[in-house]
Amino acid sequence: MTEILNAVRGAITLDIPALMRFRQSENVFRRGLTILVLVALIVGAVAFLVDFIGGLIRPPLATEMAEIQSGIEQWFQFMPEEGAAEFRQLFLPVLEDVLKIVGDVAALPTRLPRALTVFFQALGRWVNRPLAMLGGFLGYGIWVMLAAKLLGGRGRLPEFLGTAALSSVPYLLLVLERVPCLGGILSLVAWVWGTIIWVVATAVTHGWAVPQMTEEGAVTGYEVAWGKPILAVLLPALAVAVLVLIGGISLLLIILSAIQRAGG
Amino acid sequence: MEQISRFAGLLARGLFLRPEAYEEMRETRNPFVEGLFIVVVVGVIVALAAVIGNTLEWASTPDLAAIRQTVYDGLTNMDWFQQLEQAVGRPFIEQFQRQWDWQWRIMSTLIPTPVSSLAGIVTTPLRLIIGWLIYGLLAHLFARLLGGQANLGQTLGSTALAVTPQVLNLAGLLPFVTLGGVVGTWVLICRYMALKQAHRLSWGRAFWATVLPRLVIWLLALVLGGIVAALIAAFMPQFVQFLGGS
Repeated sequence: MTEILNAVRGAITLDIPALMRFRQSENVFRRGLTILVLVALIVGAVAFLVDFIGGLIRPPLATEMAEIQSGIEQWFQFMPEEGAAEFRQLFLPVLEDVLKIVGDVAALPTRLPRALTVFFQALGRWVNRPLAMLGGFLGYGIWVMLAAKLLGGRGRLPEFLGTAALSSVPYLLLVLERVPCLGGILSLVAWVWGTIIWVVATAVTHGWAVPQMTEEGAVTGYEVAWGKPILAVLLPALAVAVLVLIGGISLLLIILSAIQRAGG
Repeated sequence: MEQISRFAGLLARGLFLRPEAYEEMRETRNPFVEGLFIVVVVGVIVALAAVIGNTLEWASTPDLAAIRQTVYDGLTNMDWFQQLEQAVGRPFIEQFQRQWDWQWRIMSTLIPTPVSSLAGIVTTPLRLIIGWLIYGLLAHLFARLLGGQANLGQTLGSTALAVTPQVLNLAGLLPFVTLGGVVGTWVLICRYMALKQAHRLSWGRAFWATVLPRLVIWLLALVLGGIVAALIAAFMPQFVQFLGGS
């Protein structure tokens, strides 16, 4: 437990010796994932309570439907003035009818008491968070590992993934995600902070953080070559962005040529 | 009791990418039989969890017939429906009703019920065994081509341990839980460890030995999917007629 807390502290303060110790610890992969799951569960606990209590006092799907309606209202504000009125006249009655159907379905009785159903739904959302975080982390992690290896990294997969899992620690800030206005800012801070921990973890596990020693063999600090770890962490995201861009442009060209053909 | 604890320990070490667990599977006396045992046990446990989870989810959602009737009432009361009913008349109603019945009939087969999820106790281990054997055979082929040193039994034994992330499906005990891509990705990572360890491959060769079987399976699935889609397109009118007539 103390070791895990030290690793968490080390991740928050970007303390390279602490991350180095964590990397060398036994079962680093299991410990890293345990931290990630705990972070997600702590963050989700607040949302679970809010969802559960809110679900008991509000009609089913009331929040979701209000969010959809306000989202569409915002969308209308960006439409040109003359088109908006006509579109609104056509679209809004249909939307209202659809939302009414959704509301009617949500209000239908279930075999279990409603309180239990609301509890299970909130619990499901709570458990989904660590699973989604784990999936995203492992999915991105293997690409960063591949990029690091191609750049000459010498790390082993379990050590790398275990250490990089500490990048989830800043997401503890999302405990306050439901606070209006603050949620977005905290997400951004957590994401930037987490990305920096990814870079440090990549440097530490792939041999790009070299210990500086005295003649007696005591470690005085670490000299880090930052270029390669930064590249390894960003390359998968850049690759995805380029692929999305190419896909988007290709789709646009296909649509344009189809329109042209139809016109000709 | 000691055997169960040893077995659980092996699964846990395999799940958390401990190289010695994969080494143990490689060096065991009969890796294929032990591997088969692991896959079956994991499959049965996951299927039992799914039965409980599906039952709770079924009990937490409204009756499908009631949902169907509510949506039907809502749709037929909408302006567009009534305008089309007036403009087109009986043919529109008949066409709508046919489509409506057909879609709900398909949907009712897709939504799990406590009874339908009982079948998973047989189909889930079977699905895992087939997936394990196909992947294992292809992985063995590619690993040997890349200079691997394990025999087929050792490859299958080690890759069977890579099935352990399927235990995450135990989260399915709770209703409304969706696992997403976490199991698939974790299994892939475990397979990499299994092939690297069993065949004594370098990271690059182990990577290709892990990924190539999956690519081959995807390609085969794509080709088979294309054939099935073509068959469905060819026989669709008869199928719709059959559903409408039954």
